Amino acid sequence: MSDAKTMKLVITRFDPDVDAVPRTQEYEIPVQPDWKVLDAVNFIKDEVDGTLSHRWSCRMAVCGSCGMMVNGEPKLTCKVALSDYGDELLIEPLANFPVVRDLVVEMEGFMDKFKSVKPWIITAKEMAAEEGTNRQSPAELEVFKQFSMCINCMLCYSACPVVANEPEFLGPAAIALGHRYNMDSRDEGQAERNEIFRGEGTVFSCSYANECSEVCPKNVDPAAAVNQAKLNAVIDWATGLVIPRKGP
Amino acid sequence: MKDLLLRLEPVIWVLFGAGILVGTMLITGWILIVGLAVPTGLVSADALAFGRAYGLASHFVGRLVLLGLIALPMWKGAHHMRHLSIDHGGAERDAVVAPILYGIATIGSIAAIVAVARL
Amino acid sequence: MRLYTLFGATGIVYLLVGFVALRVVWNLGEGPEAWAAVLEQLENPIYIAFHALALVSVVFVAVRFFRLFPKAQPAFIGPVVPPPRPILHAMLYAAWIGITVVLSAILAGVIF
Ligand code: FES
Repeated sequence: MSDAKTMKLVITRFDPDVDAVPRTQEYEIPVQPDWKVLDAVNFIKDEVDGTLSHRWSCRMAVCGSCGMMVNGEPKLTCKVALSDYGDELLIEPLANFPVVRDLVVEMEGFMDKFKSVKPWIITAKEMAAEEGTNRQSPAELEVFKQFSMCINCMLCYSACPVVANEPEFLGPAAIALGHRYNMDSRDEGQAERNEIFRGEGTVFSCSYANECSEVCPKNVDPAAAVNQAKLNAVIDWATGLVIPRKGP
Repeated sequence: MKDLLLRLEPVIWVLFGAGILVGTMLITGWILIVGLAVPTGLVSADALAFGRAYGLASHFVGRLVLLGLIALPMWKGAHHMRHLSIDHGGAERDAVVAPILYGIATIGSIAAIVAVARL
Repeated sequence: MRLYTLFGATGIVYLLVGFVALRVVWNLGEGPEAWAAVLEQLENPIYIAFHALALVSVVFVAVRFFRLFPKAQPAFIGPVVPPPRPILHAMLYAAWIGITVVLSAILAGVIF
């Protein structure tokens, strides 16, 4: 630990059995120059205070579980270097989510939104095995590939000013996911999803603040997806006015 | 009201989109000349003499351009003000704020149609 | 304050600028006296300051929105494939500057 320096981390603590409201706790710890923010939090958990709760798993920006507010900005803590910050760091649970404990947030509502956009390939009729496989060209893949890179880290929900104020809004990642299937050449569920996009939690609640895309660690660009989805939802709506849909 | 708003969302969004895209493109020249250059004397007031102004404005294309530069920015304005309200803790009051703002834009748009039609 | 808040706040200016333009055109329809009166009002420093603010607002909106617009176009819109993003971005600027130059020239009496 030759070139170690010390750093002060101010971390939000909340124990629902004891605390009425979240409080903060300060930790002075020695840090290594090559540490990520997550390494510092793990050091506290392992060496200083075992009661601290936080989520992490892969440590390589893949699992999407280590999201926290770092100095007020949603970040994947395993991806951001500690050296990007000064001597003091403020670490809070992801904004816009209910807190379970310390830095752990409740993901239930978020998962429901994910499911509500029907994130699977919908076809009018199932293809029999003998018919072979569903083919897709590289160009057809390119159309939606970017939107399928989401790791569900929820940083975009923390950054979104609409999510902050309209709890029913589907939100960036869920809309990007729905849009990803709408743009998939194998999918036939556009009408269903566009209906959902125009329903409660509508894509039109988005004000294109673009904050989600600025924090996305995977360059999914959810703001692009949401706003593309708006245009598709409008075209689908206008088409429905001219050609009434068959159905029940 | 919330249901009605939800059903109108696609129309509102199209008007907003036209406002920010076409509205911005049309209103810039208007602001430059009518709002700034002529009032400050940079451009001679003769350019906006009644006869000339009336002739330009009452031309078919002139009417369309004027209608666009009056009404479209109103929709951009109303929609963005609604979002500003929601962003500042106004999700609850949106059921009141949104109809008022879109109401203002609707009245302004109708007035704009009358204003250019009667030239 | 984040940039998107400022972007939303330009909405207030846009709504007002629309109504000022409505008032100007309305007065044109009222006849020469009303027209002269409204043009004189526009010389009021408050109006000039407002239009200066409006100019700053539209430039800010244009720059930010033209940057956000291209990526909001789906890879295909029905049978239509939008131009590549940098080209679309340039087209928006070309249209904005072109329309503004022509409209300004007409309003200033340079052409027509
Ligand atoms: S620990 Fe898996 S993404 Fe950070």
